Amino acid sequence: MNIKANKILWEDIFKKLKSEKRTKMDFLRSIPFFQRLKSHQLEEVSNVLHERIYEPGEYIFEAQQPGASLFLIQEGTVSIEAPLEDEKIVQLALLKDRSFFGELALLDETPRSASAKAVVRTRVWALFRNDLQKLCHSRPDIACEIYKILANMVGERLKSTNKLLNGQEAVKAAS
Amino acid sequence: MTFNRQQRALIFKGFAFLCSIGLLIFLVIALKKLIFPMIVGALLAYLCRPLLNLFRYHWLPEGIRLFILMVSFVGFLFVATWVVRSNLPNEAELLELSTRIQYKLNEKSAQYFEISKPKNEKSFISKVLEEQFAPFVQDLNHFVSLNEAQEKQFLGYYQRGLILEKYYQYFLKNKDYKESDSKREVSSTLVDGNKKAFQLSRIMGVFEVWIITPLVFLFMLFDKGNFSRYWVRLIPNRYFELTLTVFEQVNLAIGKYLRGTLLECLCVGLSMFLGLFLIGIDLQAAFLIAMIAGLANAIPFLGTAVGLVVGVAYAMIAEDVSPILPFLKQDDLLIAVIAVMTIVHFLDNAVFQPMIVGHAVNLHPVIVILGILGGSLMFGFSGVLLAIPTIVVVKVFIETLSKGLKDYQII
Repeated sequence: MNIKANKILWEDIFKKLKSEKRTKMDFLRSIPFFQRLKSHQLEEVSNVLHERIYEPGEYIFEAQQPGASLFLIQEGTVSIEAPLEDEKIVQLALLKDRSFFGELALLDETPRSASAKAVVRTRVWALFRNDLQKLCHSRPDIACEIYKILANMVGERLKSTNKLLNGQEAVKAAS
Repeated sequence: MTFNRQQRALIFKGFAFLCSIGLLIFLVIALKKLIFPMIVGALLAYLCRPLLNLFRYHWLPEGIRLFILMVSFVGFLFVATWVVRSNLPNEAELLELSTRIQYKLNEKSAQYFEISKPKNEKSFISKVLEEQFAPFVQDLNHFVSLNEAQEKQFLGYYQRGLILEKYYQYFLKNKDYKESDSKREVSSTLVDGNKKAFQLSRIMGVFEVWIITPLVFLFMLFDKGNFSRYWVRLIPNRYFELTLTVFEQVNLAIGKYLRGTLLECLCVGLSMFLGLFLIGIDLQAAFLIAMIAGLANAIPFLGTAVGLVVGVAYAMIAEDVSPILPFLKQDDLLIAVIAVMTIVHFLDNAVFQPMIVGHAVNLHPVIVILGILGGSLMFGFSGVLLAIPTIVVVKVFIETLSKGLKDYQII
């Protein structure tokens, strides 16, 4: 009887651990940031992620603080906000499950340009910049892929900002 | 008086924090003996981690990788132990060394204390020397003298031709000295009996305590960050990024300091070995002295003194020295040893330290001396060894934390 009970207990524990790991891997696979990574590479990345849970209204980070991590939302909603000069706050975006933010912190320690606040109870995974730098030595293939994605993303943003500026200049010239 | 949920959480956290601090202090005091072996295991893991990172191939299954690493680790330990043991004196050599040390000690002390002269004819210096150092010399003499069983062993080795005639003569003279001091003989027999029992229990005690070192070493070496991630989970969200940054900075500083110090010790040991070999000290002794001086170099100031004492002590008992450098004579050995120590010390300060350790951990000499003295008073020899790494950790931690707290607008 005891042996049977023990077996069920251990099976339950291992099943739970396995299902937690599978859920985490499925979640990582669904994020565009990691879509190019293979399963074994994703597993390495999952080993360096930190899980955090934020309550509604709690700041994940605030503008002007030094950036250190990229955040991936597993479940919940995060509001990206920028403070204005007259102490008012403007909402720049509302991010939901499987979104990510704070990616520029992976490049350097430049202060955050906006704040991130949890709107509801939110579970996020954080990738710390120094862990990514360590991956450069231990698993350069993974770090290289992540930096490539990051470079593409920054490039795309630069292009769209240029487009926006050009459009505004054209409007000014026409008026 | 009622509290809201936030206040209750704050009270609970404060209470838990105080309890944890109390528990930590209690554990540090209760497990004082285990702390040093644990720290040694952790530091070794720190040093070896970069090697482990070189061996991370994703195509190699985890189990096989760990197996190869474990086999290599055990193999390395086996080879290192074998090399050290083969360079350490065997039983006959140890008995011979004790006899030589005792003989030379008696010879030199008789010379410096002018024992052959009557008291009123002795010079002032020899009187002062005798007054100050005679009890120490007698203790040292007692420490290196052979007991009855060892004397029998010595004679056995001599009859088998494993010990030279010259050392047998030393042995006889030491025996004469021993017989002339019958009081000392009685006390030494008593001490010898107790010494054996004491040594056995001490060896068992050391084994029990140091068994933790390889366990901590392997655990820390193969941990994939789960241990640190568990502790980071307990940190409040507000301090999460700050904590990671501070941890990382401290981690980098410790790694840099430890690897730098190890490399510096290696350079000091190698240069000393080369120097001692050039002035004619035989390979085995040069290796031992260089190893002791190199390891002791990890302790600032004290390391140089330890190297000097061991080197000078050997120079005083050394015989049949044939220096490789042509301008050196056998009688100059003591001066040559001091010269080698001085050159190596200069090399260490001018070349090794700035090039290897750099100014990453700039500590004021007063802090270093106070740290070593404080460490020695609180934790004995382990305190001396760990004082500087601990000061480095605290210094980097406070510097990084205060900068981080300002950057994150917490203070």
